[in-house]
Amino acid sequence: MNARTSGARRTSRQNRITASAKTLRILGLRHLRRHKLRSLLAVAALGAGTSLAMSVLIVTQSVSASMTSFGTEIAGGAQLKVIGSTPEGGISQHLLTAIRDTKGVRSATGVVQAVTIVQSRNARPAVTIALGVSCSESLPIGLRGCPTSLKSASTALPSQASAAQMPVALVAPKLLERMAAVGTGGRANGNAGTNGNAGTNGNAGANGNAGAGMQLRTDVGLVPLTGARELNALNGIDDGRLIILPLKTAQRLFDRGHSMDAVYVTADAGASIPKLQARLRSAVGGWNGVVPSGTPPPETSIASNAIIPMLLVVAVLASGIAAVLVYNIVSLSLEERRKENAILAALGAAPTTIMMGPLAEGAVLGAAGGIVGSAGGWLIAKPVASTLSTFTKTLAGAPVLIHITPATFVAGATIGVGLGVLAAVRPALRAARAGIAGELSRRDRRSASSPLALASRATASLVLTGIALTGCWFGQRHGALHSWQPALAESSFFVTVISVVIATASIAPLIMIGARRLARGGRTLTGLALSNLAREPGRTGVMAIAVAASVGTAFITASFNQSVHAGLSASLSGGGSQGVFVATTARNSSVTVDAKLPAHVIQRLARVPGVATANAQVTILAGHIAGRLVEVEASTRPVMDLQLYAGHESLARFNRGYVLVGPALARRLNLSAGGHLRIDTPHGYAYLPIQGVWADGTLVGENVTVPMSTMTRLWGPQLPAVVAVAPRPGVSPAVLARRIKAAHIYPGLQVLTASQVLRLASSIAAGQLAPFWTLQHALLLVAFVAVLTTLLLVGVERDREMAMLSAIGLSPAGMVRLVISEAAILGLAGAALGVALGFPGVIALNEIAPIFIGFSNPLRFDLATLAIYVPLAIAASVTAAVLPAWRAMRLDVIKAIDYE
Amino acid sequence: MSFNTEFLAPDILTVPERGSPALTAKHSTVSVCSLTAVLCDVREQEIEIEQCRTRELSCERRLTYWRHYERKPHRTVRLAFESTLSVLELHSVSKRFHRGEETITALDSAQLTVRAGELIALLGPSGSGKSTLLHVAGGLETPDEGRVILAGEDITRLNAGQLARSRRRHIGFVFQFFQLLPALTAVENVELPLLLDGERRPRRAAARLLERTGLGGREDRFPGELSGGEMQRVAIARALVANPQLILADEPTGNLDSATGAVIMDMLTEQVRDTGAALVLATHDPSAARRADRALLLRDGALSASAALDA
Repeated sequence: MNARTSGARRTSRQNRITASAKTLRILGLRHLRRHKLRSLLAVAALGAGTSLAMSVLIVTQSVSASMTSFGTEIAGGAQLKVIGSTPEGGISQHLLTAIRDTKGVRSATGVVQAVTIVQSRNARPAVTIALGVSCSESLPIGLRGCPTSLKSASTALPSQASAAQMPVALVAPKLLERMAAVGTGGRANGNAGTNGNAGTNGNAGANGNAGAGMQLRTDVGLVPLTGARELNALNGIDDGRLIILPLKTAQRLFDRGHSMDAVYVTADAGASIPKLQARLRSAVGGWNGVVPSGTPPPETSIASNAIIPMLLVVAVLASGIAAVLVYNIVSLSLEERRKENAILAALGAAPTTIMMGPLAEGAVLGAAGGIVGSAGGWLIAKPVASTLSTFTKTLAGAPVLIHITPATFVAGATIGVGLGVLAAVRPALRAARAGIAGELSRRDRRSASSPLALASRATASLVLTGIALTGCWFGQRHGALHSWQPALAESSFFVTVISVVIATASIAPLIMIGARRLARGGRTLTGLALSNLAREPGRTGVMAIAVAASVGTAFITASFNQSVHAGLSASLSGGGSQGVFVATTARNSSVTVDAKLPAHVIQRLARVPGVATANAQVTILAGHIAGRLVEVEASTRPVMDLQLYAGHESLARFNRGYVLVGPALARRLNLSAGGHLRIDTPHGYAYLPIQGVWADGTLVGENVTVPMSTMTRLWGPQLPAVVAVAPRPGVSPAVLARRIKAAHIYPGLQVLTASQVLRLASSIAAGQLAPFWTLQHALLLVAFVAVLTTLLLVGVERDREMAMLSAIGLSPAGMVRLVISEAAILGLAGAALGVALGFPGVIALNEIAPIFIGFSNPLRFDLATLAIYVPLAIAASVTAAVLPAWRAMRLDVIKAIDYE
Repeated sequence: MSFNTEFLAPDILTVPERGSPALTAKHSTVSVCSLTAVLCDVREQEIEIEQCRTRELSCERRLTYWRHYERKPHRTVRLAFESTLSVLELHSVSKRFHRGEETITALDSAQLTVRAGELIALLGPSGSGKSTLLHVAGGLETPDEGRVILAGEDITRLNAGQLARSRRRHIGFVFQFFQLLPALTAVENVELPLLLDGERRPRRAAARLLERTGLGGREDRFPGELSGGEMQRVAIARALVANPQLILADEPTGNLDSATGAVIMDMLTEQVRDTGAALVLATHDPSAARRADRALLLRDGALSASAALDA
């Protein structure tokens, strides 16, 4: 009997599930099919919103996939990789021996992995990797055996060769093509690239003059690649951006001494990799890293850490706006179906059944919108990835390539479903709670929010905005050195944005109510348009948010750009930095390519007439864990030119061996003046006494400034990336720059005045703001979609009302004017609110920016941008009204009035 | 409510023969235990006698049966009952609406008892409270005062979910404006109450009812493709499909011409009589009211016996 009962219960449950599924299908999903336009609009709105979130996902995924692919290509057959305490030259010969002696290691190959620039007369300089390898061990890059030319070069090339001597190098044919070197060398007369031998047995082709006309930037100057040989197999690694050099040559060209950058480890057959990893960790010490061989170089995280958090801010904002749009569409859809829901309830549909309809609808629309958003995300991700790529190429030699998999679309659909369901929850709850009898007898029509309620909401949200701005200020105060401060600043920023959005939603209908009162007795259509906007505060609010968001984002982004420019300008003109900057590449202002300035250049610079001082600035990266690298900075003439958050402003103390740390590093490691910073060095951990924490935003505040003596003691003599040259009194920076160039001190020397550096730095900063501009442009589209969808849906609901207007004499042209007027008024109000409420946004972003970008900048408001974006947003709003207006014009009056 | 258990056994055997209405037990488990002397599984109007369990079963056992059948609503468990049992009782029901500063009394201490199989006409001018009475009786509206007993259960104490279940099991609604769902075909509209109640394959029952109401062959038409009379037939079929004890019809001919209205009224009363359900009909139409067993007049929310039937 019990078995029968439980079987019967199971069948009953199955019946219920089947019945519920059928109910959902015919009640919820059929609406989507029957209302194709509405469904398409909802999908478009969701797609526009989710595309921004998806772009972040795609960029993050692409960075990870590109860097992992790069790491794997370089690693070849090795299983593990040892990274030194600094990415450049962190592995000593002694450490290599220790690795080789570790039980379970079959081979350990030390490499130099320099990132530099290859140039030719015929093409733009290209960032490339110069990989120094030794043929005494198996190659890590997957070539079968060591190419014979490299073998001979390894033994033939003396390690003390001069810069003028041609290193024997292997280059990828792709790189040669890119540099347009074909024809200048002997590639045409040799079959190296096509004979297949190189690709299969690892031997280079016969062409021994492939790189003619190409030069490599190195720490010893520009080195010709005339003797280079092509190797087809290199085409498949990092898309051919690779030059292979004998290890000793690479060590000499890139100032590594006898050190290497990484060691690729191949395990004995059958050895346990995790156990070997543990043994290696113990052998090399905690200041070196032992990671899977495909792990990307830790420097690659610098680029993503600088841009991805900002992108996330953008994505959250965009997703929020998308959710609001979907909420609006689902709400409108349910408004239309209030009576149907009442009928369902009368027939005995439980509140949960009524809720399930809109939720399922939201989910289906969300899934479709998410897939569309994935495609849109791909389009947006392309320029963002391109921006990131410029950083990753400079930092690690690897570009970011867009990486999309089916999982991307699944993720897009999932995000879309989440947004769709989230947006549908409130309308669904409202639908479930609606008065059934009232709806059936048309007694319970929705009453608009009263002006008092709107004003209360607006006041409350503005007060909240004020509180949130205070939170932003507290969050960044004194360099945000406390661990709770970034969280407070970031959450306050989001609260600011949300409260501003709520304020927009409340103030926009209030403006309409006020304007309607003022317009009494004025033009009928304008009055009617204002009345329509005033009596539907929810819809007016949503459309205003969409328009205001696009204007506000443009205002915030442009103002922030101006703030950054002003900040850079202030830092370049103050603190004795006024002068000329000398480097091997235009970008060599920080951690960068392996083409630094030799010591003799500094001596020769000091002898140029008009030079007062030459301040060599040295930077290295310390650490081996991605996201936890520390930039170590030193200069020959240190100055205390930055704001001190904590500690002592004493140059004498600094020169005695104390260090100054950046705010993010201080926060992460809970450092304070008087304490010690533990830092990785090739000789183990070093403990540096902390003098203070100051506003150095380099590497997003993850930095330490040390005296040059400390730098040399711990990491050995380092070549400077930049030399800041100060002119003597009476000599202008421009004149000094001309004199330095005329002196021909060093091949390819870049000499920039402060204003030129400012322009360059500003363009880099503007590049980092590219995602915000992408958002702004996408938001313009979102505003267009929002106004279009809302007006169309409102039009559907107002069919009867429009038909009545037509019946009492409103012409089709009048109907068009009415709809267009609504959009124009709304566009105007939305744009005005975007400007007004953009101010708190500018202030909030400027307050929290130091946490994201490392530097604090003066507050600036770029009002000029508004001249472009305000008209553009209004135009988008009006254009969006064209289709609803056309629809209103073609309305079948009799049908609209007659239908009940 | 008194219950003569001695009366049950012979009565239940006569249910299918005389089409006597049966009451779906909706009492609390305690009352089920105390009242249920005989439990029978009624399927497709036929009692499976062998499934009948008599009172030799323990109370606990009877409850087990009850809970089991509760989960199988379409193999409806029914109790035989005294033919004088009421389907609907309104006890001093009042309902007021507020419009601005004005308060409108739609129902004023209304008292009403509707017995199984009874056909009642509610008469009264527009705005007299007829629709409100039907809404309150059907659990669509909560009274400000008083109690509404539907199939032995005080529905004023139920939450929204319980009310919904009570409606789909006990009540069929017929509205003046048909209130069909435009996105569903005729047969889908009719099968909807069964689907909502968890019936897996309600199509056959819905199609049969449509056939009986003269709409055979038009099952797959959407409401927009049907005439007013046809739409009301669909609405009647929908009201009857779950085999409710009570049909509440609000001006079912109000939106139809007189000839069609007469046909619809014939069909409605015939179908209601066939199923043995009670019918409360709000109408302005005296000819419709004349078909009723009783006619009641609503004026300013007050209910009184009407002389309409005698006229």
